[in-house]
Amino acid sequence: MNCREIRARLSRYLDGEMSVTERGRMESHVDTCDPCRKALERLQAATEALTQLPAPPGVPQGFAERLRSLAAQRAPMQPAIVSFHDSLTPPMRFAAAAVLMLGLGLGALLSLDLNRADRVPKSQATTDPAAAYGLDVLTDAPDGSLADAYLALAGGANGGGE
Amino acid sequence: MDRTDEELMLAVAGGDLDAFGELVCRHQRSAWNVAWRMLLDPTEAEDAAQDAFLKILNAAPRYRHTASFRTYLYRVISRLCLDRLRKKHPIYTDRLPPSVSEAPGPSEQIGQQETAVDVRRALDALPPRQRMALVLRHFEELSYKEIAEAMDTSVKSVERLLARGRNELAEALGGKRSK
Repeated sequence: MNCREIRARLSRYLDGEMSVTERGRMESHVDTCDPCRKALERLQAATEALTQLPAPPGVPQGFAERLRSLAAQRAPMQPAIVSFHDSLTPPMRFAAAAVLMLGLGLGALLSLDLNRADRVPKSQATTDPAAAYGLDVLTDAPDGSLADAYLALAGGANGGGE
Repeated sequence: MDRTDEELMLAVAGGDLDAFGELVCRHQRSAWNVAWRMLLDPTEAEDAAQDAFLKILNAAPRYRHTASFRTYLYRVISRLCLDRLRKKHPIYTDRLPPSVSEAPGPSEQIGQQETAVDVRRALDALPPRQRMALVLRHFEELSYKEIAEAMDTSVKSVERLLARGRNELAEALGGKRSK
């Protein structure tokens, strides 16, 4: 390591945040390099100077009690309601989204297919509106009955909504 | 058997204020110390420490044990202190902030007392993030990784903050000594 690299790491060295190997390399260099050794001593002195600062005064009397009182005055907390989404890890969320999309896609396809299967042939729809609405099961309903009224509606007997 | 901090936080999330009180008792000293060293004023420091615990109380239902509660507390108090400093000194200048008056006490060596004042001034003159990194490292003895989590930054950034902070302290104190 060159002097620039050494000096960039002096703080980490002082804090013991180095591997044994790296520490050994640092010490080997500093032992033989006056400017780097002086730079290290300068940082050591600045760090040690911090020990001259007085300790903070004690926590103000009654701090915990005041806090407890403030906490009690707040609205009661609702227990955590963790949404399903929040309970999932990101990969699980992606998987859930994929399953949802797949389900929606299949549903759309099935719906399309069913519509096709249920669709009344055009010719029949124009001549048999009751069949178009699925009311052809009521064709045997007696006159004046409710079922007959439905059939009349389907056939536009009441004016077709005009 | 004493409950762990994480167990207490779970209880707090369920509305247990006794658990909250227990957490405050365990960690009030840490919150107060950081706030006092950063903000210098006892009233402000107490406000900040109180705010930190109330924020933790409010966030309890969302608390996730991804880091230790201690680191989480340092994160909250650090953020509050830095926000307050930013509001007080929105543009960092070279002017020294008003220092807390050092009550004259018996001192065997006048030189030692002067140096303590000089050190205090030099520390207070540092940019807030450098000062915070030094406070957390030197006085709270957090590791680089814990400081990074508390300050919401990278380990590399912590290393730079500490290196610059120490260099600036050395400059300031070296200048004093040469006078």
